[in-house]
Amino acid sequence: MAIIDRRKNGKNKSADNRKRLIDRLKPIIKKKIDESLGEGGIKDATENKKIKIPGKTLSEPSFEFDRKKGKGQRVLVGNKDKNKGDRIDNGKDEEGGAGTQGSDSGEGEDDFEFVLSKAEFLEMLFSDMELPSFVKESMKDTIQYKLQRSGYAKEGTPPRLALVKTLKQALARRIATGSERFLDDVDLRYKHYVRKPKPIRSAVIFMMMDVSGSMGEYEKLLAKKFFLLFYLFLEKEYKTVEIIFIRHTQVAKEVDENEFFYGRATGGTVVSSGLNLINKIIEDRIDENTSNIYVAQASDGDNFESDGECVESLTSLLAKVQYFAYVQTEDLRRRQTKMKYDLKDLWDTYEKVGDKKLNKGRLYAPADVYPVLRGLFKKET
Amino acid sequence: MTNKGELLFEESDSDWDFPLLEKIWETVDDIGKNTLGFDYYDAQIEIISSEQMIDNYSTHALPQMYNHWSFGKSFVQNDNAYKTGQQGLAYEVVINTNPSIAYLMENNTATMQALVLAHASVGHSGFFKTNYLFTGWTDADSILGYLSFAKSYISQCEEKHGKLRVECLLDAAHALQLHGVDKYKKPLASKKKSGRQKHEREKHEEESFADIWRTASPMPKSKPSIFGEEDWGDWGAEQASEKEENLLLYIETHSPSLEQWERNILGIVRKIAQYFYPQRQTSLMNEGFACMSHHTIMTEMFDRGNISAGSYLEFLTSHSGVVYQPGYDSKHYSGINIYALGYAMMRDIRRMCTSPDKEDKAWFPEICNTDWRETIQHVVANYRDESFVSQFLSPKIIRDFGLFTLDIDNDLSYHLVSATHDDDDVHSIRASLSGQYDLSKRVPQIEVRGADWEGDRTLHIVHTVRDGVTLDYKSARNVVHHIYSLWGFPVNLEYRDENGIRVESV
Repeated sequence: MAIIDRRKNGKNKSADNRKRLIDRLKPIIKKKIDESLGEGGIKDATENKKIKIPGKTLSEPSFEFDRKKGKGQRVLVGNKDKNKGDRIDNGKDEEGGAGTQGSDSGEGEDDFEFVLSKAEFLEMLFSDMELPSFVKESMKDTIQYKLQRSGYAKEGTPPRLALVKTLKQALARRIATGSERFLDDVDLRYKHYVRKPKPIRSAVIFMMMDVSGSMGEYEKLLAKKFFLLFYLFLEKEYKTVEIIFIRHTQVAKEVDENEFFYGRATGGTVVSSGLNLINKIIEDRIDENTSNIYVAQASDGDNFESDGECVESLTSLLAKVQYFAYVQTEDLRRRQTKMKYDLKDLWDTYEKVGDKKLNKGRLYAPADVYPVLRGLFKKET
Repeated sequence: MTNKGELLFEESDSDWDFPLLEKIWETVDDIGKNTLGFDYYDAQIEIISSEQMIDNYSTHALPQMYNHWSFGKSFVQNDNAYKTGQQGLAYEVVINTNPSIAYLMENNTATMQALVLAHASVGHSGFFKTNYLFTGWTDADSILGYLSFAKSYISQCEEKHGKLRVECLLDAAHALQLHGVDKYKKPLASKKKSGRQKHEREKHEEESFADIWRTASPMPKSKPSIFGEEDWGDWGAEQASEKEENLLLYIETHSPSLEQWERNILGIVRKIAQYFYPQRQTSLMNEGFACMSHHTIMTEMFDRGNISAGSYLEFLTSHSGVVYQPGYDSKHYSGINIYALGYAMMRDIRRMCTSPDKEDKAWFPEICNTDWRETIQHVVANYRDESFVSQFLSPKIIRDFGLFTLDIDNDLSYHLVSATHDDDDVHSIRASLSGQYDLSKRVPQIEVRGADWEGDRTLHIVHTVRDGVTLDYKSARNVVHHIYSLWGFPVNLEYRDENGIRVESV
């Protein structure tokens, strides 16, 4: 007899199978997420998510009888007043009582509901996204080391014994000294390893948001949703990123996370103020050679006509960064006004620059946020 | 050992600790072995939490089950049902291994631990050890080793051939697992009984895996190495044209398009299905015997003074819940409760052994006035649900349960009561109820009738239609699709009646 306390073994034995289930449902879950992100706030994204899956997508078929055909017999329990030859109406209720045998074919096509944890949900959201051209390596803040082979040593632990080398040494010694001794301590050679620091890749992300007067509440909401989701993505997928938040009106200001999302200041619109600030921060604080630099900008597309520096600042910035993502929030009603007065907007300005690093997306509604973000940071395959 | 009369714990709702659990088992074991004379495996008692119990559910309680999404699905379903209160959890789960592993829930009271040990580690364990289906068709000594081999083999296949290919293969294999068992020929030589040495069992695990492959696989001639694929023997060389009821085996050995590793994985699914096959045929008896064990042992413990009146009452409350049988017209009715009927029949046999009346002597002269322990053990060893019912369902049980038979004809608007508890109907009710536990009637009868080896290699499958009950079209179509994915050439499913006359082609 043995009594074993298994409780210490943990309860996550099914984690792998659960993950396989989620992988199998990925296309459906993604579609549901797209839909629900459109409806609800971004806040939902950080909470556990309930997903309803149509039963038939998970059916495990087997050969079953068609219970509506043919004849059969059933023995029931609890006879009180039935006599041989009595008839029982086979309405639905009776059928339920009578046809209970099919329990092993049960489950069938019932809808299937399960709750994605926050981690699983984010995994699902961001699994096919990446920061493009994430290639520059840095030795700065290195904490990880890897072991690398580096010749042979006369001392070492038994698992590292270099057998062939040792026997060669022994052979050489026997020939040289005429010794009979097959193996001697002096013959022993061990594989030698050295600890080499492992370069890490780090990134600096600039999030720049237009908060000028022309940005209506709706457009700010779209921009914030975009940045929040982007922020969640970075937090989930990249451990070594520094995020720098910039708000701009006619002047640009580096702010903290809280002010970036919740600040209230407003004013006119000079985009180059923001671009210039980024340029300056890079020059002052960031090592271009080892840091992967990314910029994400959100704006409603309005810019003061007098902003002649804009293209120049952008070109200078593009030379320094790995990737530049621009999203333009569009309130359709205002867009018509703009078209009416033939106002140039930032989209066209950026279009003309035509740099491969520069990628754009438009946000019309909350439902666009996730697809646009996914499009901008899609994993190259 | 516990002294007779020593009270193990006071209160009815007592907590337990490990020393107490050990003492409880010693007492239960003493009664099981010495007073009742039952034969069962050594017990291995494992304490688990409710989360772990749900884990257990999802893989048929088998530790080291290979990974597949369907187990994740079943986990999520059980987890949902439990957390929303639609489903309680079992107090224990026991598996057919030697030693017999019983998983006990941590939050059982001391009384409940005694109950479940008597139920599982004496009752079920004894059933596993002595019933002919289990001794002849499963190998309790090596199943755990086999499962862990299977798990690592499948995970290696995933690394080598991709998760998706393995998943699709398992999907298809699972669709056929009810048709992956040998029903008539024994898959295992009964060498286990012929005294395999204990030290042999303790040999290196991998050897026992290989041993299983050799004894249970149809063809490999050489000892297969686990990781190399060259040594698996010459599969697929024979081309049978005769009938084969084991669909999975036929495809595994004859499919023109499977690679060796794919055949091996089909073999794994097939062997696990075979391992469970006896359980599917004996659940009524198995639960009946386990209930009889726990009732007898708990009562004995009370009589000896090992448990208090309060504990015994707590036990009786739980017991009567387990064997509750609502009538067909109750909203709680969900068919015959196998615990209720199984226990009642076992108890009835015991009654007929010890104090038979006139009716018993007329119906069951061979068991009247015999030693009830020996008779029960004989029944446990030599019957399965179907034969158990047709042999031992007594007129008294039919009356007590108010059993009656309904004839169901889907072309009519009513069901006809065709048998009740009349003495004349005993044989008829026995036959009907026995048929209800006949697995070959519960699972559609499907056979392979060979393949067009000279032509386009079409695989011919036949469903034998009984009483006009054909297959559910949609699920059949999906399964045939899976068969096609394994066979690689056209698959033809047709219906034939019991005389072999073709009914229709599907």
